[in-house]
Amino acid sequence: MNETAVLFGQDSPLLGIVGRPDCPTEPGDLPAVVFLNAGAVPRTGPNRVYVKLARKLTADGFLTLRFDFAGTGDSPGRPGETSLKATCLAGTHEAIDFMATTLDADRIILVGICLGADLALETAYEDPRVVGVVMINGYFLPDNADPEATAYLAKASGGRGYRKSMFSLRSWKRLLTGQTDLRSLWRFLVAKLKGPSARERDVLKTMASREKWLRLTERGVDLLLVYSERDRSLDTYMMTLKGVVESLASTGRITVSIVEGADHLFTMPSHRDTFMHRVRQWVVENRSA
Amino acid sequence: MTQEPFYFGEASRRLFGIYHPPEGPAGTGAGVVLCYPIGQARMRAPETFARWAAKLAAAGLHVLRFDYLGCGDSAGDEEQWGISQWLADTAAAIEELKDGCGLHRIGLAGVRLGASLAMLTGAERKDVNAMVLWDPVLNGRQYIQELLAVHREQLGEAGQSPIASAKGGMDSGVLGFSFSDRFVGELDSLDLRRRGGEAAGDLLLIESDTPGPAGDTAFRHRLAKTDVRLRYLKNNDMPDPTVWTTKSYEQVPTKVLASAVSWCAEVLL
Repeated sequence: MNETAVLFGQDSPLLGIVGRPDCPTEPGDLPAVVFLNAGAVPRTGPNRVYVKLARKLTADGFLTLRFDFAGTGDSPGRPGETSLKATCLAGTHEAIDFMATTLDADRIILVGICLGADLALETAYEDPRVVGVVMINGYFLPDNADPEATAYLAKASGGRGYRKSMFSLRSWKRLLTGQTDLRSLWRFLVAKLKGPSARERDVLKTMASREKWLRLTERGVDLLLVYSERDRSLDTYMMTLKGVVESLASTGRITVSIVEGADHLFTMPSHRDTFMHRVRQWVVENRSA
Repeated sequence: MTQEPFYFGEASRRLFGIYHPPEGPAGTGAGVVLCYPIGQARMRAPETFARWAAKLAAAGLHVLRFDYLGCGDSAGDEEQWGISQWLADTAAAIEELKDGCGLHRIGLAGVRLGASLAMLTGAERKDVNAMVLWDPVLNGRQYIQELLAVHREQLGEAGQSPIASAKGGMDSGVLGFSFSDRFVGELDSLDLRRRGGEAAGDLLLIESDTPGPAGDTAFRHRLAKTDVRLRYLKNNDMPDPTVWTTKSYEQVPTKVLASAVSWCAEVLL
């Protein structure tokens, strides 16, 4: 294992771990891989998945960095922070700057789960050094999302979980013993029976920015979307982003992978292994991005 | 907050640690090694441990918090998880802090299984002057059942059925981590009520707001046979020890933390 602890960035430095391949390639041969916090989860990733994945990619020859945004994990908060998103985006840019100036890595693949996925997409759009993006269970909703459409999404997502639960004795036991969130279940059923209004349907279709995804594919950025089958983000994808992705299928730049049976954080080791295998395979196959 | 992340230990099993230098005069000669819990509790601990370390350093103590083999950013994986290994890692952390900073007084402070490791380590060594045991795991077999109960609850909501038994294969893992049969066996054998060694020095026992170690007769009798000077603190901010495994990342028991820091400064400086 060839890992080094680093502090980088301005003022209150961010803490990260750099993984160096044992047989380093020439700078520029392979893109480096940078992992973004999954929300409040520290840089090791949910159930240490970033550590495992980073080490596998390092063994494949990739330089890697996993780090904590300011105010997350072991990175101290910074005074005068404006918003969580702004703080995280700033941290991501600092990480990319650090990779470029200190490690001569100016081609980056970003990997992010949940909020990290949204941030990875946003950063890729802003920073031409990002050549690949792996987005896991992201929502990609705009900051100024229509409140009615957002409310419909909140009620109507989670369907896979409920449908699978219909075949689970354990879930029926929970329902019959009052452990199920009946209000959520009721709202879901009503939302599904009623369906979105015409207005909500139109708004849902425009929630994903086709322009953003088009610009990225035109720039040659490769994009991998990974979803857990049981996660609400997949339902959100189906209702908002799927049409955009399908309309860009001819670019050959966007891949969608669904991990069957998995929950939001890939709690079961088998699901975690499947997820890591697919990400690793995609990164290796896209090394010439 | 000043912190220095680094790797230490044998080349084949590097351990990750973060050193916090003391504020004020550097010549206090005393320090504390912080021992993390494991698994999900470890994932949710950084905010608490970062503040704990910063406050101890502000009080004038050298501080090292570190990851055991197979945990956090240290080398290895769940296959290397083991009580014996982690006791060796804790000893290595003590040596790293003592030798690196020239210390003559050392404290160990841990949460959950980290507290158990601290107690076992303190009992084996003559140079641990103080221990903070925060919700220590007294019985490994009960601890496994506690984790499995939380595991079933969380996966049950997704309609998934985890393995119920603690031995013979935990194919669904335990809250996202794989528990090998060997590790389960070591946990199963852990019982601080029977094995606590000959701990000495000062001991602060913190327990969450349910009957815990302080209410365990066998454990109290065990402690009574040692030379520890015991102080007890109730954590009214947390309903029970399992909260360490399920709490939000930002939740920090600030009041108890402040009391623990004051106690460390009082007995070590």
